[in-house]
Amino acid sequence: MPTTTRCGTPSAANSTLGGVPTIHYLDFASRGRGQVVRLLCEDAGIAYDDVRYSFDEYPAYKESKIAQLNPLGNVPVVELGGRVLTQSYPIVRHWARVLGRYEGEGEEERYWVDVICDACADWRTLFVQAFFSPSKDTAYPEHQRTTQQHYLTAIDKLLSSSPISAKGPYVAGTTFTYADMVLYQVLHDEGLTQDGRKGLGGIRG
Amino acid sequence: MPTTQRALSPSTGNDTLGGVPEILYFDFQSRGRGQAVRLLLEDAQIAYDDTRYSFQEFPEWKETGLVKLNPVKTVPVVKLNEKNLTQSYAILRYFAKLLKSYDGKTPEEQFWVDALCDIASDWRTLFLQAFLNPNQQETYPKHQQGDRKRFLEGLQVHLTSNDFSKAGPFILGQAFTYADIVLYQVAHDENLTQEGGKGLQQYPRLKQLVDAVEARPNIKAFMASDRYRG
Repeated sequence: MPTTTRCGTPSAANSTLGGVPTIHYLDFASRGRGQVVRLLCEDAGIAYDDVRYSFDEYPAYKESKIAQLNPLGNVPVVELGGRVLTQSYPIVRHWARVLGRYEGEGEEERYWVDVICDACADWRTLFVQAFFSPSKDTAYPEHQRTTQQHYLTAIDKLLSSSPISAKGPYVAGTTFTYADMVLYQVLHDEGLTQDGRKGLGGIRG
Repeated sequence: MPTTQRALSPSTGNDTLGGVPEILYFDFQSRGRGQAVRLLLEDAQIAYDDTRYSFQEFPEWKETGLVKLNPVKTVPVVKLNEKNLTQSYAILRYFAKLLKSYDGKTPEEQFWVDALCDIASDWRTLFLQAFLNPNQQETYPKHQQGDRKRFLEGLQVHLTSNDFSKAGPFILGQAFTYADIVLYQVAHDENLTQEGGKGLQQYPRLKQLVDAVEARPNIKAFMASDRYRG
């Protein structure tokens, strides 16, 4: 049976969103695409119901309950105010617009935030492919040597050379956005943020 | 050497964008993620410079030229107003904002358009993985029976049950958006739209969307022109 935990206490942000979202996701520590949705709720003080499916029980729920909510059968799926929201990046972009924050100001900033988010999405796809590969023992170290290294260098270069990013620590300078959460989360899931940022030695944090 | 061709004549859309964008992409017929950017410009009658790199010359240019424009070393790259725009879906969303068109009007509509675009993106990623696989003979048919079928069925359900989509023909009913282009393009690249949409017979709502995209006057003109290469 999946577990459900109420996280946080309903706040003004919940009123803005239209309720307490129920987030259906995998019970995989604090990792994955769904974790970004949880992270936005945590940062914004939005109470949410955290429904977690273990890896063992998920396949059965994918074909039944999740399929009823989402014909694509993937998670995260969010139930909110009688609506069902799917696709993690659109969800955080949508909530950013509704909350009036987490997106950047003006079209140039919003486009830039979107670029970093999309580059991280590409990175995560390749990371997950290698990490959950049947031949993970060879595929994942290969990924760390090549793709992971490529994205670390490239994203560092993108952020270092952008006048928007140069103004502060975040992707949009001094404004914290959904792209910071997406970038943080892929770094975290790749084991690069832990052990005092050991994995990020030499790369601008 | 890459080839460059000017498509269309500068219009008010170009004034809005601030110039004539140059699209740097593969010379792979009228296919791929970059094609969605070309298609939006064709629909909006915005002149663009179509620069194409052959598959043979791309690997070298990637390490020498492309890396200077985009450290992530992916295409399309769109040069516009001295900026190098990257990430095709972000580019489409940005152009939609500048043109005040090709997106939903309310947050709920915009979310829905974004979600459908992301679904098409997930589909394309799996499609390419199977299609460009060294073991394509096995992986691509497996993809057609498995993941692709799941996406087609899921999209058919989404588009017939969602309140914005069900009346059709587009994702937002009468309003054409960037997500219709992205979805059309992946179906096209999977060879589902050709031969009268033969591959979409079991998915009538998707066929309706594809037919409506191809019926748009500027897209119809594009497909009848020599700029459309299959």
